[in-house]
Amino acid sequence: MMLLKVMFSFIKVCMLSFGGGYSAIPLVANEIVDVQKWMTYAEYADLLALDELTPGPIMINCATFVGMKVAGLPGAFAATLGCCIPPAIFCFILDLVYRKYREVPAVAVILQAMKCMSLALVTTTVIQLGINILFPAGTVALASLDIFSLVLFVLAFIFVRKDIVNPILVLLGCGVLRLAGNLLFGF
Amino acid sequence: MEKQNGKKADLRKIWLIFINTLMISSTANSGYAMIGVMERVFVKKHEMLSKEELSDCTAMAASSPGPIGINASCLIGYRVAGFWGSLAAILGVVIPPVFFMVLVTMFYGAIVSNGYVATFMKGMQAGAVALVLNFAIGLFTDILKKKQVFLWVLVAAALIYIWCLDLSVFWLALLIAAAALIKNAIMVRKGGEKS
Repeated sequence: MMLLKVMFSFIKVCMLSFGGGYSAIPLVANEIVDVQKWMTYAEYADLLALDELTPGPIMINCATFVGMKVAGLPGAFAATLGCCIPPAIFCFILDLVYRKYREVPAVAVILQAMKCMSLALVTTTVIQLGINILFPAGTVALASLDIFSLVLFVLAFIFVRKDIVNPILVLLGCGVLRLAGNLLFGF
Repeated sequence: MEKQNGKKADLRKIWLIFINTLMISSTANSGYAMIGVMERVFVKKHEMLSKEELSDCTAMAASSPGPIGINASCLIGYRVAGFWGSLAAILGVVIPPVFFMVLVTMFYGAIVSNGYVATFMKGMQAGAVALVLNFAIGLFTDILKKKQVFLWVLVAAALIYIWCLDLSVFWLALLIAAAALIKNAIMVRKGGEKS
């Protein structure tokens, strides 16, 4: 039963994610953290960091991680299968339509609209994850602000935004800095 | 005899699709990066499909739901070797991430309970949120460039829905898509009257 539930969750997430990769992040957060409560936002932030370090599509990484956590190895397979079903079906349909008409104007309109939804969703997720990281104690107050996290976050953002180095190196750099800060200065 | 040769060629194609998508998936991290490598491998090296076909596949992959890497490989596999080709391509793309993630998750508990690793992960979390924020800003500027007030109405409506209503994103997607299609239909009709 759990297996079906995990699979269905990821079929749902997959069907709603247009534009690939990062657009799935808030959808997974919504389904897995808010609706199903299979993990916390702190664990989800861990998952995002691990995602970036492991190869392959983010959604498959998410599915495997969540599936493993909820129902072990079978859960991982069920969740991954869930991620593959919608693409397989939609791609075949789209391929048939595309060969016949070459261009489908409605698709462009829907994609544009999905982008708007994606922006709203991603903004929400950034706020939730941000609160989680900057205020690990759980209360949003200046006193409980994790200043070191804020510094790392700003630095990482600048490096990523300006495209200075590969995102994987940015993540590893953040980890190294945090560990060094902890060992040397006790942050 | 000829038929058997055809079968053998098909099997070889399917095998090539599988082994190449497997290798691409275990090295590339994002969907578009994967498509870049796929072009080099399937179009230039093996000449299994034309450049136009690949760009068709890319466009379709980007406009259907789901991970772009999976969509693209599924379409490319299908164009090259039919149903079994797409199955081989999906398997090839999926096996490496599942394998690595299963390993990571198996040791996740032990890894995170180690103090040093936990601190390291805490640092990486800050970086991961920065990456997501960067993606959000990319979307923001994309929508800004269109210079359409209607799009911002959609964004605001979606925000209100997410923050105030405790409902599934599924209905939001349907509502937003419907609103955009209706708006488009009205625009088309107006345009038609003018001309």
